[in-house]
Amino acid sequence: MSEQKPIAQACPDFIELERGFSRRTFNNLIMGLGGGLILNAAEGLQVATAAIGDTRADAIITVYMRGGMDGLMAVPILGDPTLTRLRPTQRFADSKNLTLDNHFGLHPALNTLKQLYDQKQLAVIHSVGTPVGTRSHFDDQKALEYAAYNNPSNAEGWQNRYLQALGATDVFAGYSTGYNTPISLKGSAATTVFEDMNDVLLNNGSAMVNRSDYVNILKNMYASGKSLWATTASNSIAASERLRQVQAGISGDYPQTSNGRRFSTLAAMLKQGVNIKTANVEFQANFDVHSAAGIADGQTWNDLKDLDACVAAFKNDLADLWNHVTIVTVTEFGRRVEENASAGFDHGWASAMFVMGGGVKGGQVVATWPGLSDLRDGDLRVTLDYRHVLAEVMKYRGGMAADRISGVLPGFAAKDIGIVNQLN
Amino acid sequence: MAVNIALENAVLNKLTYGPTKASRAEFRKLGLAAWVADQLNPSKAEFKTTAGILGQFRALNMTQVQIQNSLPYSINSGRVSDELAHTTLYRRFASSRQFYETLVEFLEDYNPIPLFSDPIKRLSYDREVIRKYALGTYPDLLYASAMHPAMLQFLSGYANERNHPNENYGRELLELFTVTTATPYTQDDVVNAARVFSGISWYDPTFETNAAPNRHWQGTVKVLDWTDPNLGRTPNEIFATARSLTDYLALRPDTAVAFATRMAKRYVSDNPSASIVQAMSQAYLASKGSIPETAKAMVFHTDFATSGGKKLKRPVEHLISTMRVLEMNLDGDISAGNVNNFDDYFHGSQLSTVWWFSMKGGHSPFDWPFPNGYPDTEQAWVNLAGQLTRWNIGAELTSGWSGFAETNYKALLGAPKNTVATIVDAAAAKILGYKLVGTTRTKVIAGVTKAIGKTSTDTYQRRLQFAVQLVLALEDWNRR
Repeated sequence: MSEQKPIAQACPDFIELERGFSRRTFNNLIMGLGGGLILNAAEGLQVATAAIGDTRADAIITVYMRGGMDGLMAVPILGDPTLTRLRPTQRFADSKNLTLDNHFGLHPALNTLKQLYDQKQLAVIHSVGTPVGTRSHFDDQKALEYAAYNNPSNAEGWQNRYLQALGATDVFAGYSTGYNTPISLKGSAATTVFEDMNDVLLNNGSAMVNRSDYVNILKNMYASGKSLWATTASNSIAASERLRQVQAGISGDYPQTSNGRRFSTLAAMLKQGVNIKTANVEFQANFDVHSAAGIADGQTWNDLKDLDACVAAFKNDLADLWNHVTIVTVTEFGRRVEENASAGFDHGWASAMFVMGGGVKGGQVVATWPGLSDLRDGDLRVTLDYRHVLAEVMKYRGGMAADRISGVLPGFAAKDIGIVNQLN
Repeated sequence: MAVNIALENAVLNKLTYGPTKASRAEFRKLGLAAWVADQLNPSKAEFKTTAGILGQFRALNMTQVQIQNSLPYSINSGRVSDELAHTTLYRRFASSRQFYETLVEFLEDYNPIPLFSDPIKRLSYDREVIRKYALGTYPDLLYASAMHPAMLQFLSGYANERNHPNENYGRELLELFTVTTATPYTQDDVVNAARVFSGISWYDPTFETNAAPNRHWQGTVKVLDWTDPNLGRTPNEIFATARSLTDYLALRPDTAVAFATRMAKRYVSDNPSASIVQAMSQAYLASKGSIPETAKAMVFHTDFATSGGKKLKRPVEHLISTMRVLEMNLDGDISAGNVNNFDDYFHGSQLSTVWWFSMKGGHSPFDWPFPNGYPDTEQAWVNLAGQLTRWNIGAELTSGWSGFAETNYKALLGAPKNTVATIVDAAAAKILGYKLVGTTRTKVIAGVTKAIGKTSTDTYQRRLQFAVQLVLALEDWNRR
């Protein structure tokens, strides 16, 4: 197997991390945890109070494939007998895969992604992942979202640090679907989290009380509070009132799934001019396929099909706005290369990422392919740190000044890998 | 005797699903020690007089086999999960064994299985594992959990066999259920833990757990400092090795610290002191992992009495405590139609509205899909969704929109005089257990004054109701 574009060789920090890995050091590396509220700004961000974001910039949208998405089912290596041997049931014949290039295919449920690839609006990054890799969902998710290796005192997520680096102050600048604030959005910049717009429009309850009176009374009750609850409350009341205007914009032909609703809600906000700088879509699926992976007619097929349909509907719904979003899929790890006895895969390390949008240098698979013969304890090796992808997208599509990157991804030497165009 | 309202509030907000008029009176009568002893008495009746609407649910006390062979479950087993979620909410609301019920929730989050994994097995897991051992020991609970078909299904035990050990359960056993990643275990430890459980599954028609020597990885295994020859020649040998491993892990000092920390974070604060964690982990080790003894070490530690308000209520705690403080009544007929018709059976009941509210909060029982349990930090829940749904649910419950009998606010607040200040003080005293002071009080008074004009004939009733709604919207009521 010849190597794909040998770019972005693992940086020295990264190699050191892998070599020196132990569970203990890992915890010291990523954990600024201790629970509770810690709102210290990341080093290097103290001056970023003025609005320095680029108004032409894209909304950077992460689609979070929690559970550990298998990169080799989504983006298989073609013509490799090792894959055939290690995966007796959970693979397609090369001829059944969609073809990306001479080396890589695409899962046949991903028709829209294949079209985007052909239209040069989708780039695939392979053998990519977190620099350490513990095979723990929860540790690797934390690591992915803090993105602050070597900075144990940091307790904010990378998307929140990104908002700070942009000087974003609007409560909608950072948005996530769901009920819980993801770690990636945790931090001192205000953010908005909700699942269903209908549930977060303020009801006055008793018709005997005028609604606008009620809104003002609640606002006043929380006007001078200093706690997390109180400061968030002020933002929540204002945000809820703004969402009343957005609600009418929900449209589009989305899949009848919770993911379809999430994408349609996000699109409605963008179409109504809500100034989202970064958003996170929790993609509801079961990528944690320890058994019955269902590549051809089960779990994996259904989940990838849902992703494909959501992206198709989202792009269609956004129309020209598609040129002002960049979508990045993230997952905490890929899966073991060898299939287990129950047609599933245990936790692994490297996976694949999709980067989509009008500003993407699409039509390419970016990978320093490590091969399937030199596995790390049965796992595909990570040859590219996922932070290179985030850094380039933030810098060139998010319009973030290059000198802010060290504040958002502390201790990380980001290199351009050539997956997006610069804003023009 | 002077009432220690801080202690009373800490106890009734943390160790129960919220104070009621009756529970405050009971606590004042018994005092802390007797109250705890009564609550943790295994033979305490769950309900004072009748089982309320719980007795109308059909699957609750059935075996897995019975459920599988019964209507309406043989048509739609999803109805079993609906029953479990509904009855769980009812128990939190109405059970007399409130402390026990909070322990059940704590343990359901600790060794969790989502409903969708398999409804029939999940109902049995609730009864035969969590509820059975919540007042027992963690080693017993952990082993029962490991052997239960619900866990064997959720974390792929059925697929774990000698040639390709499935690591799913073995990994979470170390990471989530015992030592946690604070202890530096290795991939070999994970694989060996998986090998110990290989070949353990269940018989489908009977749901009995079995162990198959020909599917079991045989040979010496080592996990941390534990080793076993693991001959695995018979089912009993396989079970014995598994039990040896779960006992070893459950009784390690690092597991004691992990258990104590998790419990303290559930009840006391997001950042419990080293002192209370140490007291609890010592009690855990001294009692061979007794759950109530560990809980008692927490409650009787000096930190506990002053920990009121240090935790944010999660959405369902907020929901149930609001229903309790409003003295709502949930008894009544749940079978809206033919009990054998799964389209009618108990849907449309008041309890279904409660379940629907729990869904809107993103916190419906057993709906968290991952094996780490619902988040339990302030950071995770304080956001637009968390705040707006609470305010809206509070507004719905106070205004009687939800199909519940309208609250008699005059009686609830003890018929205060018809001045806004008096009414607000009475509402706070009823709901929070204390009167508001300073700008918070001023703002609530101003809010009620602004919203409720003086011209209406029902000004008094509306003031009462709106004062309650605003006190429920305060941060104080969202903490415990």
